[in-house]
Amino acid sequence: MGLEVVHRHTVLVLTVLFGMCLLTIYLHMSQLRAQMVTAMSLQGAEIYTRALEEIRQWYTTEVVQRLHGQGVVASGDVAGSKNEIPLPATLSMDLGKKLVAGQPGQEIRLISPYPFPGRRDQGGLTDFFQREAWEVFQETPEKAYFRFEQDHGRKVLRYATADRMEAECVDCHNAHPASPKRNWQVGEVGGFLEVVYPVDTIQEMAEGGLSGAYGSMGLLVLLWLGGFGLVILKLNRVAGDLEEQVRCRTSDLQHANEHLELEISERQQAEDLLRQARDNLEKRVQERTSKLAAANADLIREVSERKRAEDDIRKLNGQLVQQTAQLTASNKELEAFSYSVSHDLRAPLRGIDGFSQAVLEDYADKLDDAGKSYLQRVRAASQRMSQLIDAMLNLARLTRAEIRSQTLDMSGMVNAILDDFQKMDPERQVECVVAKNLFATADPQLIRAVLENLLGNAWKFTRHREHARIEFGYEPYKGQPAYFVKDNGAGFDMTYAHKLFGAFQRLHAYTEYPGVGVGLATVHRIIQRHGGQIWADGSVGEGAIFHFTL
Amino acid sequence: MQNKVILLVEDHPDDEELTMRALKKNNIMNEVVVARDGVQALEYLFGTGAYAGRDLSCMPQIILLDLKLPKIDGLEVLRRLRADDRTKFLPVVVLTSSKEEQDIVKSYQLGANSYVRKPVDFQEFSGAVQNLGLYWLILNEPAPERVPVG
Repeated sequence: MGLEVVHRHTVLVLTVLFGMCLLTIYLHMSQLRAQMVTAMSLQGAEIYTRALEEIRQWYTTEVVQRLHGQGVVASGDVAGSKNEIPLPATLSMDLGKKLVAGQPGQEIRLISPYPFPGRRDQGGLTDFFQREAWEVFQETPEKAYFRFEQDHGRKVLRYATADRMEAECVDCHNAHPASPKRNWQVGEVGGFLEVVYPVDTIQEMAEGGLSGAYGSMGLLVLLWLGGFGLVILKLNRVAGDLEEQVRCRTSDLQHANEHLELEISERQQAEDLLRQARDNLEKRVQERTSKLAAANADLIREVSERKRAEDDIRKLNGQLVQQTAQLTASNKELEAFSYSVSHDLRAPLRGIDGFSQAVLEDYADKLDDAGKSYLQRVRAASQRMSQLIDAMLNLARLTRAEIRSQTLDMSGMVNAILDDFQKMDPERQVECVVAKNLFATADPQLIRAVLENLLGNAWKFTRHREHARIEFGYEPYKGQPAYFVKDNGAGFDMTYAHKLFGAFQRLHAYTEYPGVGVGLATVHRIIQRHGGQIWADGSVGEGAIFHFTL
Repeated sequence: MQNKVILLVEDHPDDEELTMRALKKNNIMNEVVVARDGVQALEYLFGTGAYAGRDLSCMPQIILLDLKLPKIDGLEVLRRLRADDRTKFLPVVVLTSSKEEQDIVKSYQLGANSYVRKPVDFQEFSGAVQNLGLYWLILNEPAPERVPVG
């Protein structure tokens, strides 16, 4: 962390370090200056003090002591009598005054709490410094006591040294009449010498000396700043280049980044789309799966149902096969029956008829008319029975016959049948109205039988009509064509309409309209076998209409 | 004309009598051999059984064959005689009460020369017999008796 800060703010750190160096140097020099000033002032004060002490010592021992023997007394003032010399203290004071003359602010004073009466105004402890110095000297007289003080706006050094009593001094002071104290001991501090030494001049001197150093320092600072500036400029240029490169790279990177981001967002979109598609797909797959499962369940159910149905069908089929076999068997029986009917029933009839004829021929002379008539009736009856048998066999055959359908010209067939009737019965005058171009898909032989029967009936039952009319046409019936044969003949009572299509059913007397009574039964059977319907309408004396579909 | 035999294959005595009467009424005096079932008919034709030793060079001019017969029916008789070289060209008229389509078809398939249904009305029956006699006994030229084989 710290290193990073240093790397990032190199210039600032260097500047701060440099500033701190300068400050340190400056502080050191200031301290040096203060110490120098103190030392120089102390030295000055000390020189004064030692000089004065040496001189006083010398004066005391060499002058005062020697002269004392010759009667010369040291006392008070200089301006005393002829035999008097100044006291050593006075010498010190006067010399001090002379030394400091011309040196403004410098003072040299001899201070004692016990001044001689003549110098009471000069001596004595006059201020706080002097009192304090005195007290200090009572304890440690060997050391100088000093203090810097402001005096009249100037900084001054007050330097005091204790003045101890020597043996010579004690003799004199204890003996001198003017002495304020007479119990001095040797070594006792009698007072002290105070030198007042102004500091400002020394300070000026020191500052003068130091100003060169300051100038050098300033120059150094300027040089450093210049160099630093150059380096910074260079660095800035390099940094600018680097920055430019970095900017270029950054913009390149940004482009690349944007491109990448775009790509990423596209990919993300694509991914989202894919995920959505996958989700959709999964959902659809699930839906499909569930649908399939449902369908499967349905299918399984259906399959089982089908299986059941198949089983049912198989069972039914088995029954059907059985029934078919039974039916085939009964059909065969029926066939055998019809065969024997056609063969065996007819043979006796032929016998009846033949032998009746034989009797009529061979024994005619033995029979009266009634007998002959009866035999004729026997023959007629046998022939009618033969017709019945034929009709019955025909009906049975139609019931069994296979249907071979093809396109039929119904109109043409009707016309041909009516033409045949006309030829067989040329005297009849019948108005025949046949619709043109009626076609049908059916078995030609069977439909011919149908038409022969229906038209034959119409032909037969109109025989007593003066204006007989037979019409063939068609009407739409429930979306399919219904053909019809209409006549204005005898008609029938609708009460018995249900009997019309039964075999051997007759609604008219045989003598009036002969017939065996199987025609409509045959028609009905054929229409049924074609999947069609037949129905009749009519009223007695008005005619009949038969509709049929195929 | 006397030696031209008619073989009547008929089981019913009434029909036999009526046929004989019709032949007589139409002056057909040929010898009539009556076989009352299919077996008798074949025995006569091939000289076996009751007819063993019969001169087989004398074959009927016409065979009137009923279909419904005891023992061997008419169609089987027809099949067998058509299968034999000695009898295969003999004229056979199927004379029967049946009008069944399948009987008619089968008869022709087996080589019948004609198929006549016996009418119930004797007068019609007589007419039919007369026509048959006229045609098969007089008009029709039979195949040679010895038929070269191969």
